[in-house]
Amino acid sequence: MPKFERWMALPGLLVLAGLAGAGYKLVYGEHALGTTAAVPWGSLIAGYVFFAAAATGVGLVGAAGHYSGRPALAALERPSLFLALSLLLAGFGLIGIELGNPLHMIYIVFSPNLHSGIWWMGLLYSIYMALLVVECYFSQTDPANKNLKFVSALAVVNKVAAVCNLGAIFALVATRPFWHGFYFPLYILLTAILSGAAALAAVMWLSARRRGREADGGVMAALGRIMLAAAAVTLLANAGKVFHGLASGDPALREATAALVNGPLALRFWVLEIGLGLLVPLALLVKPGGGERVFRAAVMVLIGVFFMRLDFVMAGQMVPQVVVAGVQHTLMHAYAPTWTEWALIGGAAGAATLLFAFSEARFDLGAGKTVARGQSLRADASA
Amino acid sequence: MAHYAMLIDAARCTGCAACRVACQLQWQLPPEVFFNRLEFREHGQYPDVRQEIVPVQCMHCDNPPCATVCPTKATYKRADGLVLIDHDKCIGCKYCVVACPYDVRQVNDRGIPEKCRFCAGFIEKGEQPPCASTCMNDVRVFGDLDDPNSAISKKMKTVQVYQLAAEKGTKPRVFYVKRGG
Ligand code: SF4
Ligand code: SF4
Repeated sequence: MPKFERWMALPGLLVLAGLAGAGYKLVYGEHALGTTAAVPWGSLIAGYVFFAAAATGVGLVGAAGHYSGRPALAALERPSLFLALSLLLAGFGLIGIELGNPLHMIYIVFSPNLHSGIWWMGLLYSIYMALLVVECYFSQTDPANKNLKFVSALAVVNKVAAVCNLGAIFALVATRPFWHGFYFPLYILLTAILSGAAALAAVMWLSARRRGREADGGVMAALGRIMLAAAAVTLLANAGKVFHGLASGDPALREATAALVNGPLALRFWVLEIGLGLLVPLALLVKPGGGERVFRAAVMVLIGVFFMRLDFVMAGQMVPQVVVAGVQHTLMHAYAPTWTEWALIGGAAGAATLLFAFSEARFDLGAGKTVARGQSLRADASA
Repeated sequence: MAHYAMLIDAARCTGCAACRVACQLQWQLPPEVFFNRLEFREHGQYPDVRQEIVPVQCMHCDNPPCATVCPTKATYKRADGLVLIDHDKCIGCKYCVVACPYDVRQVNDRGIPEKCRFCAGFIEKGEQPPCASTCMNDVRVFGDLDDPNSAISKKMKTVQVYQLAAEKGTKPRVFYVKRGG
């Protein structure tokens, strides 16, 4: 077990809040959530997508270290495995509590529906978890092992398939034009890499700080570059999605896009998603600088991407479906997460943090290069 | 094999909601859960305005998106046309609720979606669903389209029909009488 350190109080409290939320959900079921028949998917689904996609992104960035041969990225290989596992477990916990009947999941095996995106998600993310466990094991037993290379190659294919399928769960719902189409599977792959690089940058910086060291400049700079590229493309993708949506001939798509840019979701979209999540990090990352700047950008990206997931899930459901032509009861369906939902999401974040801290204490993550605090990082930044 | 369907003549509906209450009693539903609803549509421009009341419930689609997305086949289509939910297999993911274009699914206290069952278990005994039998104006006609002598088969021959949101490709089994104007 890792020794208790003062900083652990915060994730610890979050986990306690999450447990309280889980208990409340267990007792009050659907009543504990802000979701309704009109908005059946809420912040817990968005939270699951956030954690699962970030776990995949962490894995993909880690794999880039494996295959690119760049020393800066290679240092991420082992931490990325354990961080991906921590995030994935947190995501699974969240979805397990969200589901009305998680115990019935046995029927995913005994009564499979191969047409269902959620069935494929169950399969692909279970495989991802199994591969991560195997990779973590090999990383500890024999880092030079050929098996690890083989498993890693399999895992890359699995990761891309898993995260694109996660997007396809939404993209295949023909009744929700905001989600429907090829856009989201690609967008989620892109933003998974963005949030994965951000999660790694945040963790690498914090973990060095914890040991009274500075994070390796080369590693932070490499992660900063990945975030910079991914954030820039994400910004362009958002612009494309907004222009396409507003110009669409489909009123449901137009209204959903308008809800995002000029409606009930606008404040979150412009301030948290675009401003805090993309523009400020881009401004920070475009200038050369130390690990702290990358860390700050990473934290903002993580917050921004969480709200990106929430807004995406919401925008798809807020516009009422036209069932009887000419009848519209309400302009927009309302939804707000309850305290239970926030507690569960916070709890998942706290659990992922503590799980990673536990992994660091228990296993050899290669710690990467760190330098004593106060020493210049600039020299390293070219790695 | 039967081929169950329903024909709704919305123009006859008075909006009394007896169908909704009868269904709630039939299935012992709590007040906030209901399997059928009434939608109020206005036609024309003031002062020449008319109101039409359109009853809506699960369409028992022949191409049901709710069943396509269900990971465990908890939602399934029976050979006689009914779309039903096996509560034991349902994981409570609500994917079917999201996928239904008619907004007819509601989630019960156990986290399982519910919707109109076309009164499975009763209709096989030759009973009518209470939403049809309770209605004072015979708005709904329920029956077997494979039986040429059933009331629904006979009526379908005499009227023009349409389906709700037919462009979504769901092939509903609930038909509506088309009126001019
Ligand atoms: S109306 Fe909705 S719930 Fe009923 S069969 Fe069609 S898609 Fe499924
Ligand atoms: S909520 Fe139940 S019935 Fe609906 S898709 Fe999920 S498992 Fe199937």
